[in-house]
Amino acid sequence: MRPNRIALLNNKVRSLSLKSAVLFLKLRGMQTGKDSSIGKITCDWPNKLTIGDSCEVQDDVDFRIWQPYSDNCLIKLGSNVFIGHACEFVCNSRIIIGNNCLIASKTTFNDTGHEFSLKSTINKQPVTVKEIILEEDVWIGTSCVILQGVTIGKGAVIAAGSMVNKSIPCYEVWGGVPARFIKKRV
Amino acid sequence: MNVPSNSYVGKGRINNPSQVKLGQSSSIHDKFIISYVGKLLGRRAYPINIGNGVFIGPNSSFDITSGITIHDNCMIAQGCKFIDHDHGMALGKLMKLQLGFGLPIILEKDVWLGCNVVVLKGVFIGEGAVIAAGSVVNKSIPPYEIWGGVPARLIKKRI
Repeated sequence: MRPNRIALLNNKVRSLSLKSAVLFLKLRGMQTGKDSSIGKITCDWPNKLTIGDSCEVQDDVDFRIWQPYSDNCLIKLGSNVFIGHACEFVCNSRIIIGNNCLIASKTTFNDTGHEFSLKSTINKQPVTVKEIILEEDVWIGTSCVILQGVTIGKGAVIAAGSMVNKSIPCYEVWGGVPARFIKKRV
Repeated sequence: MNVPSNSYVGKGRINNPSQVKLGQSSSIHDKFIISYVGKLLGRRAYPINIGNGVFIGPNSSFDITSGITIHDNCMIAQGCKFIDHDHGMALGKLMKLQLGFGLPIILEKDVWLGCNVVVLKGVFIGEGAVIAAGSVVNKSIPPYEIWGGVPARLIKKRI
């Protein structure tokens, strides 16, 4: 069955508006590689965002950069990366994602936390910041939460709905809240 | 998109509206995402088939390649997510290139999902089952039981 004409026209209008939005992001300093398809993303400081070759970034992805004037605060996606709908990157230091990673929708990366001693209220205490690194070929299921200081090794798999607060070695499958070892990839 | 006049569709994104059918007096609220990537079926066959009197809360998303059927009078709270495909993870090849096959999801009548439930591929949820909020369902669930957790386990039976 052929899709109807109005749908095709709508698709064309959408792709044009997306192209112009990406052009505007590039003018504001975003670096993208060749053949990347980028949906409606929100990013206040695109000069801190690097996207590699032939990536797919879907709609409603939110790149939130809190320290635009520091050199250490940046988000970097490698080439061939897939990022699903409504993912969220909260970045105070560095979030680096290697080549060929698959990140399903509604995943949150948060590299920020708070100190919580009993002396004063939590909102007056300093934030703690540690970078998040994903190596190559990592697959993250939907609605995961990746917390600060986590390094996920090459070829690891995270099950859907898990909360990762520890680093994960290469070629292992982890899942649960908080994430625990499930099995090794064979 | 096949929508009768007495049902409600909020603001959201659909990539293939012609593949979606909504029943009588059902509702999908705002910020939904329905993406169907697969074979375009002919008329009167809908891969995404939602029955009569179904409630789907805001922020739901459907990531479908083979199909999903939601029968009558289901209640689906906000932020639920349905994914009917995955990837292979054999060593020695990039996971991106190992495409898994899709298996359809089926929700029977009168199923209640709490908020932020994730339903994975090939899951059959029996009539009158209840899923607790925040759970991840990766196995089929028998009728009239209450399940919850990550991954979902049996909590108790409805009496």
